[in-house]
Amino acid sequence: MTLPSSSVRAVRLVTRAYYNFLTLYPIGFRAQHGQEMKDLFEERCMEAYETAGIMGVGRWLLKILAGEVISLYKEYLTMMADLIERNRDAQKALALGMIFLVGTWGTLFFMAARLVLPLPGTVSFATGTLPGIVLVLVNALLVARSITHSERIEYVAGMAAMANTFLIATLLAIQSSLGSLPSVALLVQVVLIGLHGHLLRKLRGNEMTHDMQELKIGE
Amino acid sequence: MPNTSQTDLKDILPLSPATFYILLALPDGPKHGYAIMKEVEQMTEGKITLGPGSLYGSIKRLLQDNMIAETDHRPIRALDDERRRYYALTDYGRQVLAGEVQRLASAVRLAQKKAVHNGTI
Repeated sequence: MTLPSSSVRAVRLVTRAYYNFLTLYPIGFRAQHGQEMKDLFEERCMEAYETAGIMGVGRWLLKILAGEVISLYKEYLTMMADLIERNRDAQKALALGMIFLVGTWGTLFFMAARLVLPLPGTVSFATGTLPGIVLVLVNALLVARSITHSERIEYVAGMAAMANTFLIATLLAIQSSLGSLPSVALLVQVVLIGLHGHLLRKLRGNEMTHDMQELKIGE
Repeated sequence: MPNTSQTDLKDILPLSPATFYILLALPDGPKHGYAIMKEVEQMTEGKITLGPGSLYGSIKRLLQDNMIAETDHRPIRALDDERRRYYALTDYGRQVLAGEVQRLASAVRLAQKKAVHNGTI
């Protein structure tokens, strides 16, 4: 497919942004389908550009954006479910992690309740924050003991993705109850994905650079 | 390979719309990811647009469940990009697809019967 150089630049820019997004996926999934996803993205982008210019690319990106973000989280959940299925210690760790999440939500609930009811601060601390802190430490210890280094990285990334999802869901719920625009939640989502990427880059280190190079082979 | 007893199909069905259309894109021969994506868009008149993540997420699960398989068979080798991977429907996938079509057809029959009976169509 031959395109004018400005089109190639535009498509390349969007594709480059997509490579960065691709690096957020769990390593196993990227190893299996990363190259295909990149090729397909590039091909579809060029086609959209040929048909309707840069607006066509934009329209297509808007159509697939939500599905792509959901698929990212879905892959982490699947990866964590697989990990937990074959590791008893990780099962314990996840159970504790879940209790931690419930504890955190309990705290949030009490904090909200304190705004309308005269509850003492110690109640919310005792019911949510303190058990939460203890459980997250035990969780971290168990995970660190029970799984391999690369699995641990993916586990942390998965937990970050889950926390990200919870946060966005909460923001959306708050926004819809306040009747404000969803733009803030979208902005937070973009920032969180960026932070998630930064965390992964730090954790995965050289492995990530190697991965990015592999993805660029087809350029 | 999963066994295809009635109970098994009951556990799997209903399929998600994306999974259903991906399977529906494959009975006439193996296709690569891009061709599947285009076919799904065409079949649904653009109502379902799969991005690479959603498409390959579904493909991964379909491969794990043995509903599709990677194949070396390439329709026109000379015009083909070697890097592309082709996916074909397995016998099990065909049975699952047939089961889903049957389920949808009976749902449509029921809805039509009810609507005609109530005079709402």
